[in-house]
Amino acid sequence: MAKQWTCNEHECGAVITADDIDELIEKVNQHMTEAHDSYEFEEMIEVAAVDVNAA
Amino acid sequence: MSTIEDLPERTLESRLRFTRDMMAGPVYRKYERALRKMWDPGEWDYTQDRADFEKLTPEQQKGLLMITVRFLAGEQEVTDELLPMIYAAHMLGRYDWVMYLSTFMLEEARHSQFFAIWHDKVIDCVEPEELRPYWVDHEKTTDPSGHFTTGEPVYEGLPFYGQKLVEACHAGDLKEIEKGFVRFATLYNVWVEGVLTMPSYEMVIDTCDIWNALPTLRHGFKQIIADEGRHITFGTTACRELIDANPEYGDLVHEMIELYRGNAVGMLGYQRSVPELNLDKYQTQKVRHYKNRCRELGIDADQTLIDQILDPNIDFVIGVEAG
Repeated sequence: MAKQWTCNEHECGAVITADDIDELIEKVNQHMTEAHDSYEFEEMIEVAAVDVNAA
Repeated sequence: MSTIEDLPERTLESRLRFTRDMMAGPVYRKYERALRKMWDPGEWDYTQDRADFEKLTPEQQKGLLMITVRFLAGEQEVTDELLPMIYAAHMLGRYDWVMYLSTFMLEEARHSQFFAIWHDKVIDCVEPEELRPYWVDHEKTTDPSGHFTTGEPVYEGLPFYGQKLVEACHAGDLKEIEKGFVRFATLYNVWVEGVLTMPSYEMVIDTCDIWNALPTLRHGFKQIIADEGRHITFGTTACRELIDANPEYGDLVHEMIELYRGNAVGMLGYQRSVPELNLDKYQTQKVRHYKNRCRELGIDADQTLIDQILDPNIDFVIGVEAG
C-alpha cells in the first residue's frame, strides 16, 4: 500500500503520495520547505498518513 | 480505615505489564524513538553565541530575550506540571503511556536545562533578579475591539487542570480520570505545545537564519522541536483513543480550546520586534497546526476560530507561548 498525506496549510491542500512512510516524510518536508518555508514533524506525518492503492 | 492487609491480592497480569500488542503500539514506539534521540546541552559550545549576541543592537538583544526568557520559564513550568498526566496513565493501567511519559518529563527538564545554560553562558544571567528586566507580563492582554481576552494557559491553566486531574485520580473514578486526561492533554499537548508554541520555535530559528548568528541557540531549538513532535502526537494519540471509545469527549477538546481562544487569535509580540520576519507566515501557520491537531484527534475543526485567526481586522499583540 502507498502512503498519502494532505497539506493543511491555509489555501494549499496539496496531496502527497509515496511508496512508503520514509519516502512520504521526505516528500512532505520538501513540499513544506518549498511551498511554505516551514517543516512538518515525522511523527505528525506518520499519524496523518493514510493507506492508498498504489497507482 | 482499611489496612494494607485489606488490599486484594495482585494478579500476575497487574505485575507483568508487557504485551506484544503494547510493544507494537504507537506510544511504545515513541518511547523507543526517544531513547534513540538523546542529546545533552551540557556538551555544547556557547562561545560563538556569546560573541554573536554582543554584536547585536540593544533592540535586537531585547527582542530576542523577550522570547528566550519566556521559553526558560515555560520549559520549567511544563516539566513541573507533567506529573498529573503520569498519575493518570498509571491509574488507567497504561504502562506504555507511563514508559513514554518518563522520557517526556526528562526531555522537558532537558529543555529547561538548555535555556538555563544558554542564558548563563551567553548573557551571564540565569536567576530571577538577573532576568527580571527581560520578563514581560502578558496576563492582562486585551483585544482593543473587546472581543477577545488572553490568559496564561501554561502558568494558570496547567496547574489548575493538573490539580483537577490529580483529584480525579485520588477519587479513582476511571471515567472522570479519562475526562480529566483529555482536558489536561488538550491544554498541554494540543493547544500549548501543538498550536500556540509552534510559531515561536520557528520565529527563533528564522531569526537566527536572518541574522546568520547564534548557532547553538538555533541548534537547541531544532533539537527541542524534534522532541515536541513526539510530545504533541502522544497527546493526540492518547486522546484519540479515548475519544474513539467515548465520542462525547470530543466536546471537551473544543471547550478547553475555547478557554484560550484569544491566545491563538492575537499576534505574538515577538513577531513585531524583528522587522525582517514575515508576520503573515506565523499567523497562517497557526491554522495549519490547529487543523493538524484536529485531524490527529479525529474531530472537526472550528471554522469560526480559523476565520478569526486569519482575519486581518482582528489585530492585537499577546505574549510568547513557551512550553
